[in-house]
Order: sequence, then C-alpha cells, then structure tokens
Amino acid sequence: MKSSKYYTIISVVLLSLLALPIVGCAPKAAPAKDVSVEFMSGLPSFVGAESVVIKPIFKIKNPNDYMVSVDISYTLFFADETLGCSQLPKLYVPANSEVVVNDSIVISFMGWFSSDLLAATVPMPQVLGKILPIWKGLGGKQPALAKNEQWEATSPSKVVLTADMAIHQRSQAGAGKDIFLKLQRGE
Amino acid sequence: MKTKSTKWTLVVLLLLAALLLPMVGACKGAAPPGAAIPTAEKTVKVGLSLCYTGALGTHGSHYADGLRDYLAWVNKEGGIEYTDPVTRKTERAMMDVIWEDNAYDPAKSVAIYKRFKGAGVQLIVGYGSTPGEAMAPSASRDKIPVMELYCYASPAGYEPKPQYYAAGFGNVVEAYMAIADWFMKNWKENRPPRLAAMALSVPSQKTLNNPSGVPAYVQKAGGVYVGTEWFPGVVTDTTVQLKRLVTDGQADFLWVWGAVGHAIIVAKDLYRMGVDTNKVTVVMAACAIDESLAKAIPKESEGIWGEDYAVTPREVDIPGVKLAMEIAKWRGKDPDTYLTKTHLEGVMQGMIVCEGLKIALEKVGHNALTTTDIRDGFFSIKDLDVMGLSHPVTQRDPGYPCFCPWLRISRCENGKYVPKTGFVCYQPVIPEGREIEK
Repeated sequence: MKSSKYYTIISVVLLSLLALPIVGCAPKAAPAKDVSVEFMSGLPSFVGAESVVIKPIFKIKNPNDYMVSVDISYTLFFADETLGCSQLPKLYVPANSEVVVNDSIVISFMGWFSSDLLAATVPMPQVLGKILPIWKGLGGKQPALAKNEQWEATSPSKVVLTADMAIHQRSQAGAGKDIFLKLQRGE
Repeated sequence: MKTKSTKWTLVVLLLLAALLLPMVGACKGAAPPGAAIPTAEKTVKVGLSLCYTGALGTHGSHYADGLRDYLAWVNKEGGIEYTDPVTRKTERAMMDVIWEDNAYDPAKSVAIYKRFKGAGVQLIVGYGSTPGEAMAPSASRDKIPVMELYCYASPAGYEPKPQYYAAGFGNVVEAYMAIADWFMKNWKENRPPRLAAMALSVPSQKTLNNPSGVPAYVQKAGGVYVGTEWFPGVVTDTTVQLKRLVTDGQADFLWVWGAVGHAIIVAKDLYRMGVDTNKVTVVMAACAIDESLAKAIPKESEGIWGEDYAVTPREVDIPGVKLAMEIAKWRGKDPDTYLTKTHLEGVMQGMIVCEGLKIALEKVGHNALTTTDIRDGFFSIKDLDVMGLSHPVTQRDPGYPCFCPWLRISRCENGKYVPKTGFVCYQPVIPEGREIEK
C-alpha cells in the first residue's frame, strides 16, 4: 500500500516535470503574412457637369490561417492629379479568404479646378486645358466654365487611376503592422 | 490491494494526459481559423476632421499628412506611454484613429462630427477655424473635446459653455498684432505706420473687422489701420483689393490670410502693380506660405515675408525634423519632396495630441478615462518639448485655450524661404478686444 502510493506520487511529479516545457508554450500563431489588395475597378457611379462620383472597388485577400483586421486609407490619383482620398471602415478578413469593398470619391469640378488654379502658376485657360480632357475621360458632362467649342474640341484622356494606400493590419499574430502600397486599377 | 492502487495511478495519469493534450496541440502551430483578433490592448478612439480638398486643401493636405503620419508612427512604436496612477506601472495606449475630409466646409464638418460621435470617438482633432466653430456647440452639449489645433480662436467657437472646444492659435487679433508689433518695432519713419489686412472670406476671419479688435489695437500701438479687404475661395485677380489698400490706402504693412494658392495670386498681382516689397511689408499668414511659394514664383515672391508655427524641413539638424524625415521614409515617401513647413506643423501638433492624452491617462488611468479627463489633459499641457519644431508648448488658460501662440518670421530671398527671427509670442487678447487680466 505504502509503496504503491509512493509510486503514484513519483509518477505525478515526473509527469509534471515532463509537462513543464509544454506549459510554458503559449498558443502562438505563425508570423502574419501581409494582406494583398487588388484595385478591381474605379468606374464612375455618377457623372454630371458639376461633379463626378468614382466608385473604387478593392479586393483584400488574407493569406493567413487566421482572421485579420485592416484599417485602410488611400488617395486616388490620375497621373499626378489628386482626385480624392478616403478612409474605409475597419474590415475583418476571414482566414485564407477575401473581401470586396466599395467606396465613393466625389470629385467636384470647381473644387478641382480651383485647387489646380490656386496651386499652379499658370492662367485659367491653361488649367482648364489640363483638367477638361481628364474630366471628359471620367465621363463628366460639360462644366459651366467650358465654352461649347472648347468642350467639343477636347479629346477625352484615357484615365488610368492609381491608389496610394496605407494599411494597418492586425491579427492574433502580435503587434499590428503597417503596409504601404501603390496600386493601379486592374493590377 | 495492489491492483486497486495501480488503477488509481492509471486514472491520475490519464487525467494528467488529458490536461496536457490541448497544450501540446497549441504548441504545434497557429490557432484555428477564425480565432479572434486580440482586443486586450488599451485604445483611445480619436477622430480627425481634416482638410484635403476645398479652398484650403492645398495647405490642409500637407498638415493632414503630417498629423496622420505622426499618430500612425506613435502607434507603430507601441502607442502612448504613460504611468498608470493606481499600479504606478508603465503602460501603453494605442490610438484608434478615424478621419474624414471636411473640405473646409461647416456643413460637412457638422456631418463628420455626428459620424464621429456615432463611432464613439473620445476626442476630435481638427483643421480649420470655420469647420471647428461649427462643431463647438455640439462639443459642449455632448462633452466631447474638439481640439481644433490648426485654427484661430473666435467668439463663435468660444461662446458655447461648458468649454469643450479649443483652437490652437489664439484669435485673429492676436495673430495679426504679433506680426504688427514686430513690424512697428522696426518702423523708422517719423509718421505713424499704415497697416492693412486682406483675407479669404470665411466666417472665422470676419473678426478682423471688429472695431474694438485689430483697428483699436493698431491705433493703441501708434499706427493707422487702413482697412480689411476680402477675396473669395476661387480667385484669379486681387488687383481691386490691393489698389484699395496699397495704392490708394498707401499701406506700409499688409497681412494676407488664405492658402498658398491665394498667396501666389496676391504676390503676382503685387509684382505686376509694381509694389516694392522693400517699401511695403507684405506678410503672408502661416497657412498662406511655405517653401513652395519661393520655389514656384521666385521673382514675384522676392521680399515677401511669412509667419511660421514650425521650422522648415531644411533645418535638418533639429531633432523634430530628423524624426519627420524618418517617418516619411517609413511611409515610403521621399522626404525632400514630401516634407514642407506645413507638414512639420502637423507633426508638431501630433505631439500635442499625444501629450494631452498622456496627461489624461496618467491622471485617471485607461479604465476610468472620460472625455472630460481628455479635455482637461489638453488644458493642462505645460512645457511640452516638441523636439525643436517650435517653442515648447504650454496651454495658457482653460477658459481661453491656446496651444501655439509662438510665431517665427521668415522671408523669401533668392528663391528660398529664410527664417529671420526666433519664435515670438502673441500677446493675449480676448475676442472682443479686451485684454486678459494677468
């Protein structure tokens, strides 16, 4: 009786000692891989003479075996022209999955025109000459500032949008990480 | 008997094995898909009402980038470090930052305020006097601190009580008189100097016309006030306004408030009109000037003065400039083209945001933190070292807050923007034009 109790105690102590290194090992995720973002489309959802609304659509892929959250801010460009900027609501992307998110950027003709006019050192006709082809390329209608003949003579630019994106990614894998991307529509 | 004890041993062993199995499993690799993102860290929700577009977008976007970059950098470095008042341990709190573009539009600003409130922000930091004033009554009602740091104070902003709104720069009268005092101290002629102002027509600037404000203070200081002229957001010519003030009014001193784009138009008109900037002192307000003016129009900007709330990125030996360059590189930007004086003003005010939150956290801890504590934290800022980007920041009076009453004066010379003075402090003036009792 005495010896069997003794063996039991010894077994428990030995097992506990064996378990020690395992107990010290907390649940740990593999290091997080960066999410990838695809700029799927940037087509207008509304076109008018005073404003154009672009609807950028992004696909965010999570290559990890666990869910991640992403906070995304981006600026939309055509060449060097800033068209607008926005912050998306916080997104949760499931493990090994993807989410598609839509946004809206409102481009006001007068806002754009005035900021270009004020930022540049060129006179008004040249600013108009610079903006009108892009405006027409975006599908915008004839703005009040443009005369009929000038509007008709304007060839629309092929508008290729780019997005300068800042992503803050968080997951169970530890501290958040920041990812900065330059995306082209259709890439 | 022996059999019984062996069984007992087996039971104990099985129980232990069952206990240990999940730990072994956990050590093998990642947690299962769908596992929650940890939320244990302490966060403070901050809303930024910024100005990327609209009449002041050319200026506001640089400021906004500077502020956002700095706050993101602090988060990347682990958050705001503070000492917990109960445990006396060093803790860290992250800022959960959301932002929107107010386009310098009061209607948009109010809509943003409502969305921020709905999102549960504990602090709003903003750009622009006019968008800020629009939020002030709601801030008092909801007890949400609105720290409109890049902004002049005005009666509209400071009237709602209790005070949950604060502007960064004091009021327009103070800003004007800080520069006017500097000008009048250097006045050499045997007649009273003639002073004037020209501004973008927005509500917050209208106090320039208050008879007991700028005109009274100019007179008290021994000068003659010629008058104030206004221009719209989209302006292509300012000849009429300049003729009234400079040609007909014979102003010796002209202060211009607007964005850099407006300053370009004014500078070109002055040049075309043959105004000698060595005889007429033309000073662009802080939001109307940065290094780009001297680069864009070196000929027309020659001799024009400007006021600065922060140093310029060319002053590379200043620790705050070094930090801003490091942050720019982290963001994947070229510091040479990305950083401007206005960007550094955004970085500097990011330091004020973190300090205000730190004081509040150190007073009550994270769990007990209220929006009133955050407001009080900002109103208690004292001797904040902004790494040389400006004079150390001390909030002067909870009843009439002002964080950045320190201005430096620079001048466009040979295509460069060159600092000419150290930082000088505003003299406090309350919006109605009466002096604060010290």
